Amino acid sequence: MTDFSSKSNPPQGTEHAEPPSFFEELHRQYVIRISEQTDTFEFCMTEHLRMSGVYWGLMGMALMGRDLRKEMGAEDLASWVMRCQHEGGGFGGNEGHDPHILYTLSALQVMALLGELDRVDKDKVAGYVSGLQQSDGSFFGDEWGEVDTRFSYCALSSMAILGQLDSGKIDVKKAAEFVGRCRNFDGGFGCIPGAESHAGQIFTCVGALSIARSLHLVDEGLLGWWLCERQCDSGGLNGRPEKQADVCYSWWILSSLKILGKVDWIDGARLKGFILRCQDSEDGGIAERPGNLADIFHTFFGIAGLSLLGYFDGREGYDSFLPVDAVYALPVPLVEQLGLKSEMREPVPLPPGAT
Amino acid sequence: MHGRKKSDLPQTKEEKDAVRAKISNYKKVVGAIRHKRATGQMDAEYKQLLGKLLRLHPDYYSMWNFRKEAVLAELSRIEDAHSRQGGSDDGDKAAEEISSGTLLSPSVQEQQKKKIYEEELALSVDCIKRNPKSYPAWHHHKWALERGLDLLGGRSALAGDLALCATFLELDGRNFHCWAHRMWVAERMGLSAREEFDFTTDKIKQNFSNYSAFHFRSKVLPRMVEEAGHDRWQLLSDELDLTHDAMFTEPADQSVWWYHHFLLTWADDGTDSCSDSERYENILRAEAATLGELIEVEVRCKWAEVALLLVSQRLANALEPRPQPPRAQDDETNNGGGGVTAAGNGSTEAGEVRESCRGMAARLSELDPMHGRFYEFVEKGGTVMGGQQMRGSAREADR
Repeated sequence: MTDFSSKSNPPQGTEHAEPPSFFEELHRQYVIRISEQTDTFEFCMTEHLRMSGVYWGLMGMALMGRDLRKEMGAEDLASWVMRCQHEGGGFGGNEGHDPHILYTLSALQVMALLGELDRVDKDKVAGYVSGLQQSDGSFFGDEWGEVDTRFSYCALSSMAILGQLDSGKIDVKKAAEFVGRCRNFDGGFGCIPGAESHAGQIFTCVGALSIARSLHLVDEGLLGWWLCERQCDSGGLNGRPEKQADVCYSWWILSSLKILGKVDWIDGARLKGFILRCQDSEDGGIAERPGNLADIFHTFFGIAGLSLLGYFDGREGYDSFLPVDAVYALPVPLVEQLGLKSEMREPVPLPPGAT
Repeated sequence: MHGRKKSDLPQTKEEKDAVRAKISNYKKVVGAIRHKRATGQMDAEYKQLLGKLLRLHPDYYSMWNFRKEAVLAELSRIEDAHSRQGGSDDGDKAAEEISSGTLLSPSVQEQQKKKIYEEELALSVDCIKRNPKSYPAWHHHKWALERGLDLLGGRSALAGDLALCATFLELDGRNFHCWAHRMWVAERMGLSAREEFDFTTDKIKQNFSNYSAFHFRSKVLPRMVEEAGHDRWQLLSDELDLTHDAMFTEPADQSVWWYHHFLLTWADDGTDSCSDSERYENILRAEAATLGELIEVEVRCKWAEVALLLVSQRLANALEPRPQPPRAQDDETNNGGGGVTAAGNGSTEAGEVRESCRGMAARLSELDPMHGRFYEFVEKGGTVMGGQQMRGSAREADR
């Protein structure tokens, strides 16, 4: 779930029209259809990250309140996940693909969503994750030595899901301090110390600090300001100053703001409109911006964004929808059931008379 | 899969056939690589197939790993041949083996190893050109450069890479992968603060909208004082001039405004004597005046108004440090003027400035209602001053 490639297409100019409704049934069909369409070029080119693709699809369905065991072939999926595990405990992005922390977290999230976590040898996976931590607190992505704060998040979240965050196998305090060293002049965070702030990276850093109960390392006012200034005239959010809006930042930024108790620092109504306009009204799915081709990544982030904005709350017909947890990117009831802990700021109530 | 339209999908039978052929070709290459790896045939053809596949699909991380494995195997074959030679005490015999080709002379060995690393650099550069945002391609590039650095020529190899980064940043001045890699190269080369500073100057002058360049400038600016011995206040004054050029040219572009905000935080952090304080206050007054001029020519320029609000807050804080956000009883005291006069003229000015901040925040909420909650936060004393001032007062203001 952590690939922050940026974009270059121009936006569309329909932001003031009444946004469409949420195409629930089309999206359900879309998720099922793309998981069956294995003969497309897109399927080929995403073979290496199938584990994350499956996680995005399952999350889309889970947030829409669907029964994953019935509709998504849970048995086959869980067995496939186990076939992606390597001797050393890590999971690859697909069968025959090398182990990596990115796909290890996705695999754990998939197994948790399927209710199959008991099939995972937790000590073995924890051993893989802890083996990637370096003396400065950072994490390698795999044995080849790339360092990135995305991997810090993946490691901390994985250890929490495994129930081993405080087992002493990883140094949580040092992990948080490394993330803290990636903070910049704008309050944001980059992939390594010194690197530029990026909204996707900020989610992984704020999420990691939240799991490590170290939000004191965040400059909350400054970062909140920078994040709310990601909102563009279209209502959508961009990832860095002077960049195009993209639905995926609805997740990266809203989740960060949620952790900081500042979701209302952006204009929720306009962002909802942007996300809804990115839906494909014929074939389902959500694209990164209006008029573009939908994919499973943006479909999940669009639904998760609407969830964090409270779009489904109290709206008729959405009773079965599940809210998303901003730190663990899993349904809130599942996070509660697994007993996953995090640090989160309370939102400030609106002043009297405000709407 | 970003930036694609439905119309990019294959429509006609010809297009669909072409995609099918592409997929089949791709699968053939993947199959051949996997077969060779499974059967231990890490030969020249294996590397060639990996090169072909990666140029097609630079994000296929396992293939990069396979490639690294193959490179390491090749390097150790060369080293084995060399160490056999090193272990031999029969010089004549070794010379004979070298001439017959079963052993490698040190220089031939070095040449062969160098060639291997050069191939890796060329491959990663091809892949970066195909996908400039490919994480594994950038990582492979750094991996090869770091491992092979001495063989590749040490500093001159780094200089070559620095030039390469400059070329990539000409194509996309915001590529954060490239900037991060460049940062690593510059560190390894031990580039001076001045050289780094000048590079960001060039990028900013090319395009005031280059936020990435402003970011790196924020990193190198303190080094200009610490390493290059520049006078902090002179530097600050020059930097503020640069921001004025940018903000009068592109007032709606946010890049410069974030840097401007940072500069004043940096100035504040460096203020630790009475004469510093006076300088800092004068800078703030001058900035407020400049921003006022900009607001006159650029009516409804939200960024100038926000900057003016924050500069005014800084000035009020400097004149009359306020350890706590306003509470009901403080307001009462201020209304009576008691707390203000006690601290002298500076505090009278502080009171006036604070009063004007309230009006500014209210006006901003009207000008830019999308960020109304943020202006309310600032008005209530919430801080965005960053730097060393990260003292938890942001949370305090939320309560």
